[in-house]
Amino acid sequence: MASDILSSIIQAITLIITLDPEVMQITLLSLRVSLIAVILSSLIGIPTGIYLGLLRFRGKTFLLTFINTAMAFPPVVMGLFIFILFSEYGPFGQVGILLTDTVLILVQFLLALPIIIGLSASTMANVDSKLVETATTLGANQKQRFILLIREARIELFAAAIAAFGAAISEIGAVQIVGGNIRFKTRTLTTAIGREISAGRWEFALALGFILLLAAFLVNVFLTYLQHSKRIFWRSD
Amino acid sequence: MVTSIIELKDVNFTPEGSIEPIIKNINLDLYSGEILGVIGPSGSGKTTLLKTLALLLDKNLTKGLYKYNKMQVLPEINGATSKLVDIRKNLIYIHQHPVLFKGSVLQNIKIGLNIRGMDFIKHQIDSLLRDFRLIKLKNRDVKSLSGGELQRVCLVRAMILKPQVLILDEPTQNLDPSNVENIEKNIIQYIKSDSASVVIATHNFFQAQRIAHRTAVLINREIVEVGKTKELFTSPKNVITREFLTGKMVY
Amino acid sequence: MNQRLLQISIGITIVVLGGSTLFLMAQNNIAETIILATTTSTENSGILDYIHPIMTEDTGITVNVVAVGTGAALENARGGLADVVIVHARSLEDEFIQEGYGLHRVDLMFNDFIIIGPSSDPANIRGKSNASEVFSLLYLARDNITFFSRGDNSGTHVKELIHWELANIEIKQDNITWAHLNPWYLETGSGMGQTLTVAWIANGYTFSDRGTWLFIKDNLDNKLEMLAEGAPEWMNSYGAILVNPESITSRNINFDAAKRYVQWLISDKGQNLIGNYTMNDFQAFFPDFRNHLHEMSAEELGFWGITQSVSMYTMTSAFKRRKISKNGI
Repeated sequence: MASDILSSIIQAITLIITLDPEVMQITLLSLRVSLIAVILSSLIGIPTGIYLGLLRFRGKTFLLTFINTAMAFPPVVMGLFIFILFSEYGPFGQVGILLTDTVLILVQFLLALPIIIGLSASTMANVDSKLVETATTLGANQKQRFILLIREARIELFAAAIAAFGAAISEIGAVQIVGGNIRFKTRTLTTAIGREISAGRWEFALALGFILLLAAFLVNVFLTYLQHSKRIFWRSD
Repeated sequence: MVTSIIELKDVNFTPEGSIEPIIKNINLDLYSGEILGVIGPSGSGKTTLLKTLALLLDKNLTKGLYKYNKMQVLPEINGATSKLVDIRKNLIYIHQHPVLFKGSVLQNIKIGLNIRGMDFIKHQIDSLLRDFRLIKLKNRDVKSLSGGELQRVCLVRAMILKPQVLILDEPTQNLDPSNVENIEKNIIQYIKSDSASVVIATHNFFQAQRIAHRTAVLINREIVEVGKTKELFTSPKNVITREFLTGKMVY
Repeated sequence: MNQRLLQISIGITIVVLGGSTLFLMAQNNIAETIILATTTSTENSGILDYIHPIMTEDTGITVNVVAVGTGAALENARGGLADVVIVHARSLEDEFIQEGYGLHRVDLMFNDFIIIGPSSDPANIRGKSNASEVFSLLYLARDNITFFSRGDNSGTHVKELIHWELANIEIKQDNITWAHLNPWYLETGSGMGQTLTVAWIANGYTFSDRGTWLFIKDNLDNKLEMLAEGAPEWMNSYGAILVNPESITSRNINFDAAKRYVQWLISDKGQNLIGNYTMNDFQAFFPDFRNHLHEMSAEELGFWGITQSVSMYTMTSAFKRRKISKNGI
């Protein structure tokens, strides 16, 4: 068994060094889909989460509980929802995005969004209300206050994005259902691994697994660097 | 020429969901170029009064008349030439316990300048830092600073923006004498420029007598007396004031 | 808490857990258990759920079914995770046996493959039963159609690829450039049910086993239809292979029970039951063992204990029988 793992690693390295075209295509597709999904869900989810976290209103606890539940929404069920909504049976059948990479982005976006919103909202629990007052008294408008809060909670917010990216890139069930695992078109690293496992090609599947780990690792290195960089994160210096 | 900067007439503030106001029947003027002290027992509403002056509190929960530079700010007038948000830019409130953004001393100062779109003029900032004995700590992360240093950073951050009114909530509470001396010196210096004003809440009667031109006494949610500091402390007009000043008040 | 009470509850827990474990272990030894590695389409058809209970009653053998893709089923067996294998990919089965992992292969049953496609049938293959002609027509119509291959090295996939070869059509499915130039040919790398679903979404053609089609067609409303059937090459043959105990070191292969299991499957009773199984009121599988008796060596016959002469079905008569019962699928 140990020799199988070793030969899988060697196979993975070989595929990378020789720039195997199909593996490259699958890897780039996976990264592109997940990164776009996470970026979009962060752009929408962070402000939404911060706003929810700060606001005080009736039913806030209920809404936050709902979002927390949504964070753990079973991805394969999400895939099923989207599949039905965009299929012949559903209201959006005419849109025709099933079996395309667009629907992959959509489904990963929907899985990432509650994670980002939920974690962003919870960062606000730790933020001093006096900080908001200080920002206001220094002259900040609504948008500037938001940016300052994001700046203060930057580490936690990045952690939310990193968590969401992890969830997105490792997703297999939902992606299989809505994308169809079409070779060269909607096949991601995860569904490719699934295909190789069902064909009994475990060594190759594991090699793909190592490539997936490596790709995710590199993205996380970059995100973690951003998370901790000391720049003011604001215009001009 | 001395002008009235802020006028409060019959002002109340009642927090959300409460029947009792925290401060009531407040009649108070603030003039240009003066340091106004605010003294009173803990829980009497000093912070609320200061935040009301700073226009930081919910305007819908604030009753009464607020004028800035003779213009009515509260209650809000539809179509007023200057909106509350703009007036508020002239007032900066500093919390009792220093509130800082993540980063260095310099980054905190820059945040204020960036918010207001003001230029970052190095020698001005350095000069102010020197006044507050912070020049050596310019690039230090605020996490590593002491309470006194943090409070001084907050003051620099506010003063560099040159607000017309600086509103300080017990700024030297818990600080050692050298910090106190440095801060008081800089406050006095501040009002000399452009006839700015300072409101300073304090527990320290000596401090009030040292630096405040006039002093207001806030007891049990109301201002019981306002007057020239020296006269107030030597011969207060109100019996409640006298009891408070001599420590006879039981509260 | 009461010390005494704690001791008693711990004692009861140990007795219950230990007792049930011993009980289950004993169960496993009393009834003999074997592991069958087979394909998901075989399991999905439901035929195993139909015949196994009867088989267990007759022989006392319990079968644990592990159903995965064809390739994975054989890999599982190579890894010692099965006592017997039932798949339907002759070339892969032969490879398995040549490598020394399998012994005493028998033809168990067959069903057939069909071509599914859009009701509008742009390629015009409806009603045709010449395999090469059908695949050539699909290729000719490639600007107007999409064809979905399973692309997963399954029995179905292997069979499909052979057909393109037989029709002299080159499918370079591993080549990205070829794939970009031939957007009509798409691989799903998935099981039959998934592939049919994808074909349904995209209104495309696909090569499917009849069993899965019968299983799923009611869910796919009327966009897709069975368009072609009956070509002799479209016979989908299932083989049962015993795992060679000498090739496996990691586990004790239950060769004896596996043999008795297969003996039951190829017995008159087993074969009749296979033929009786219906899906949606259509016969799903056809017993095949008798058809190949004449191919078996004397040793093989001896191994299986077949001595008396038996009646023979021929393949064509079996096909005829099926056509009568099909009634407009």
